[in-house]
Amino acid sequence: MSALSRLLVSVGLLSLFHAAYSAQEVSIIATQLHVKPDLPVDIKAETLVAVFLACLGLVLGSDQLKPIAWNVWAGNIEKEGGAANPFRLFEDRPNYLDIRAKRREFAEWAKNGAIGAS
Amino acid sequence: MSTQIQYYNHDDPATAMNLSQKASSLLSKSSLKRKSQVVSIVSAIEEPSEWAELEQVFLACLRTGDDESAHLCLERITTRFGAANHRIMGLRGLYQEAEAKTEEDLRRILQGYNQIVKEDPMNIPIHKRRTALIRSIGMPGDALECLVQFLASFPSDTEAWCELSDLYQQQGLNQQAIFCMEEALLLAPNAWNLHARLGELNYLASQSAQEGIATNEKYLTEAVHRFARSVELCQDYLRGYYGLKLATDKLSSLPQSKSTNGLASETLRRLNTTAVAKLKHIVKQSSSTASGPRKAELIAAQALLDQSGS
Repeated sequence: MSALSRLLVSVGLLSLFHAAYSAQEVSIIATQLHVKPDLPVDIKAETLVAVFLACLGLVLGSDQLKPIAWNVWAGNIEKEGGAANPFRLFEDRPNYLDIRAKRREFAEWAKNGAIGAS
Repeated sequence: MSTQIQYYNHDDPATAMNLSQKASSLLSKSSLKRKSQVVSIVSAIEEPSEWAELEQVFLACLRTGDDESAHLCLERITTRFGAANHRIMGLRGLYQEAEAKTEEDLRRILQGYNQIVKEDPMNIPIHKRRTALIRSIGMPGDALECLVQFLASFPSDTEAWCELSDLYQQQGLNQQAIFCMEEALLLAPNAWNLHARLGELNYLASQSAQEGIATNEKYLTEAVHRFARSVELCQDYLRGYYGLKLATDKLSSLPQSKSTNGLASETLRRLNTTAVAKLKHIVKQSSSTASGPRKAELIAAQALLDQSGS
């Protein structure tokens, strides 16, 4: 949640409480004076604005939406190198790993890589 | 399937090295140490992912030749899950294979596998280790037989179908390899990389087919279909578009045949244009951020584009 959205949500909630408090006061005074309680238009407007601000803040502060289309999701995985591809093990087949060949390959890489890297 | 080893990118030696260097810090973690039953009730809930990571570190240590750490990892996993666990047995087998110094050692390990499989035919990891060991000591024929027998009992094992496909392809039996990959795709119909692999197998078959233009065209048409499906399942899939371009290039260079099931030349041309455009887009977009194997892929794609002068 960014600072802006936090601010919007807190301002929205505060003024919502303020509107509720005002409405409560109006109702008490109206009862004491024995008149028909009629909510002033500024309290109504404040309520609507407060709810709108709080909702806006929540929407702005929510996480980025995740892809719901298969091809977009798969495309993102491939863009990141494909390590998260759930079907990758069918091509790498870790249960059929030829560990001796892999060890030789690594030793080879370490010998050449050490020269190349330094 | 619960016996599958969870995947980590081991292809890259640098990744394996980084991973193996985590061994000592991971082994000193208290959550992975042996606890008495009383302590395990009050201590924090253990994380399955930590054990999965320890397994990956074990594999990386074996690969980088850090046998001491590998042994410690294996001991730790064994105390937690028990030596009779199938997956642990597979890992132990892997460790023994890596440690083996002579042919004689390997033969003894193989005999051990045979014995285990005879006593417990449901031990899938050991079945797989046995096949892998047979293949590794240079007996592809026996490995084929082993796999075919295994698949007769476990026909829903996608990994085994893929291994069989790879083994057939290595032996130059493209048709059989294609069949096996199709079986694997029946089990995992959304796997975009397997679609691309099937496309590659069809392409290879078309390049080595001796039966004439009609068969060639059949294989290439199938390859185009498979590559097209792979890019449909995965947007901006470099491998898929690369294959699509190659296959459509080859198919349109064939003399026109009268067969009705082939693709129209207009469709081919449009597929080719799309593939070229997409390849250019992908290379341009990600060449600045890519590294490692991905970079090599991008260079190959650029080379293909340069070669066709587009």
